[in-house]
Amino acid sequence: MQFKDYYKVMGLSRDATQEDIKRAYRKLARQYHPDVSQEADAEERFKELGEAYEVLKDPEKRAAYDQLGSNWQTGQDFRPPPEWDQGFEFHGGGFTGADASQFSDFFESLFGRHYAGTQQRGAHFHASGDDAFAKILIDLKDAYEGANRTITIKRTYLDAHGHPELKDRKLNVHIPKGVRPGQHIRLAGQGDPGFGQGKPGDLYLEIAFNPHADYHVEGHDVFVTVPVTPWEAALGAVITATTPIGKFDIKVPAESASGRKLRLKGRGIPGKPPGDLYVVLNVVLPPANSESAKKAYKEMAEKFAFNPRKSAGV
Amino acid sequence: MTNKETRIISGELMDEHIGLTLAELCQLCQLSAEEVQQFIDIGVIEPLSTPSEGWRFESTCVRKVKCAVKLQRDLGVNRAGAALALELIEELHRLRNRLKRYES
Repeated sequence: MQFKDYYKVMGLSRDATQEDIKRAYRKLARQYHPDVSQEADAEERFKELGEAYEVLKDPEKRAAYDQLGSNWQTGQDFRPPPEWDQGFEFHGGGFTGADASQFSDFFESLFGRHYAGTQQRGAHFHASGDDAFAKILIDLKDAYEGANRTITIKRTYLDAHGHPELKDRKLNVHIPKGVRPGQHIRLAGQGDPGFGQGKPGDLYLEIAFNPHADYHVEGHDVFVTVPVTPWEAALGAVITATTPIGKFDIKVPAESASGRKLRLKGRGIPGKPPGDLYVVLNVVLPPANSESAKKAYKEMAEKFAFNPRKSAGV
Repeated sequence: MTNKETRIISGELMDEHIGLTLAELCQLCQLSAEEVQQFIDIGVIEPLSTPSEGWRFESTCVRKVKCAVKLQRDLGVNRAGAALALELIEELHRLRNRLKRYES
């Protein structure tokens, strides 16, 4: 198990006041909150921060942690000294409500037993299992056609001694045709196991779509970006657009600008009613990479009295 | 692997046609009706205007409420602050996605 330097995680020195700790936490929490931050490792950092704060904000836990000494380095192999917490009493002071099951082995080895196993379960105790939640990423095609997908979820099992244990669990799930982002599929009885003769909870899968360079989905409407040439956009043309449901011949009206949306009614995500499919035009300039191409651009410059910066007064 | 793990499970798609009921929304957010009501009062989520009896909610409300709850819990902001942060975060995501499409 690796030692964790909670002061370093919070960017504080060991003599920081409780006020400093609170302030540092608030600031870093805003910075690394997974819903706010763009940084790739935000979720990891935020978890680490929550764990550090859990210990340092509580004077009892902090004092116990401090007496491990300051010679330890982050990542150093660590075993808690025997009876290390002798003379300290933990009152579980102000658990933040952070998800303690996410904390590291290091935290668990120091403070874990003060939290775990507090639930006394008699031999005849029965209770329904908790509902479980997971997010599932699917392709847009799956929403159009329906699909079977294998998903892996982390799940807590109780071992023979009643200790929770995290295991991977594979499930083959049918994705019904017509699902929209944000919808949930309820898998009855696939949540956490119940205690005693209690029923297991349900598993809820939240649908999200894999990001795609050319498609995006809003509700049940689908938007597909299709590149067009300047002359197709200017003069109008019939073009073949590649969409999630195959190729379509689409009429581009004359004098279309980049970003113009052409609606194909009822061709979005299927349902009652179905969504619409929007073809979004993206005008692409041909490269001036040959003599004849340069000549064509020069001719355009001569023939158009065109100043796109006119409104800016230049 | 047991037989049970390899078969294909067909679940029940929630909010297939007319939105989630308040009970379903509470279940998905793991909150009481009173707690969900407070998010409605402050405008984090809005019921759909459907003629059907009782409230109905879009599925996307679940993510909004869960995000607001997390912001309250993790950042110590109050409900109004969480609602404001949530709106700004959503706007930010919309703009980032749009920007990505223009830059690609």
